[in-house]
Amino acid sequence: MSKRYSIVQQSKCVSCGTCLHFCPRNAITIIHGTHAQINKDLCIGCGLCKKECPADAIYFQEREAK
Amino acid sequence: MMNKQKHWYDYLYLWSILYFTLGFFNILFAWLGLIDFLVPLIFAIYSGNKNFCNRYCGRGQLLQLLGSRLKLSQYRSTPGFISGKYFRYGFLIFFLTMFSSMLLQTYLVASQAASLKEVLNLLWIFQVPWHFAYPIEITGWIAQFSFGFYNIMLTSTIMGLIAMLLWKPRSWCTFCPMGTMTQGICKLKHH
Ligand code: SF4
Ligand code: SF4
Ligand code: SF4
Repeated sequence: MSKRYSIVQQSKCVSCGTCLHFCPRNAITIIHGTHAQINKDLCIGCGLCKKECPADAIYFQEREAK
Repeated sequence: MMNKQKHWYDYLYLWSILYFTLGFFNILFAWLGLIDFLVPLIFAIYSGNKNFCNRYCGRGQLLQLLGSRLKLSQYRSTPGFISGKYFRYGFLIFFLTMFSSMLLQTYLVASQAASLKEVLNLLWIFQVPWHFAYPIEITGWIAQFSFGFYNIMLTSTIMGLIAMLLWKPRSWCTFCPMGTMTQGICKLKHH
């Protein structure tokens, strides 16, 4: 499991869907046309979505050690 | 873009290129742009989604392609205020005002209160002669709408290209009036 994963700050997301096209794990879904959501179990924290997001709505989050 | 399986709609950027090319030869093709106006609204109003932005928008794809594949984008953060609520809705209102003024101009030509102007008003500042794209004379208001609508399409694409160069490939999508409007409709629908 990767050390980090990405999360979307809903209030900043413009639901453009740019991130969808870059995620190698298909971990991202656009919910109700209002914001993107990342499935943290699929996310490998590669940051490709974060790099492309024009609204800077994506952040890294460290996974808690089990 | 990642090497994902390609679908037919991943090539819609070609539609954007074709649209602007056709309007260079005959302005009446501008009417086809209504598809890009109606489809996103239909998706948002009837299905409450942004599938148009997420999949079918040729302009978004074109900006992505130029910015990331052709590496024309600087990849700097879009300034926060630009992707923020006030600017987005402010720009939407400005855009709708410009759209209404275009419709008014069409009406004036239809009622013969004004004459047809074979020009584009790029970025609502620069008057550019476009008579060469009007080879055969037709009903005035149909032509006037074509010039006005093509101007809106081209102006917004130029703004998109500038945003792509300055910031991220799809920075335009943060304040694109159609994107703001469809997201707004989705928010209302799923409230
Ligand atoms: S960080 Fe990588 S794997 Fe995770 S959602 Fe973004 S693109 Fe997908
Ligand atoms: S790229 Fe950014 S703004 Fe666009 S849908 Fe993804 S998280 Fe939202
Ligand atoms: S925000 Fe505008 S340019 Fe971007 S994908 Fe949506 S309709 Fe197309």
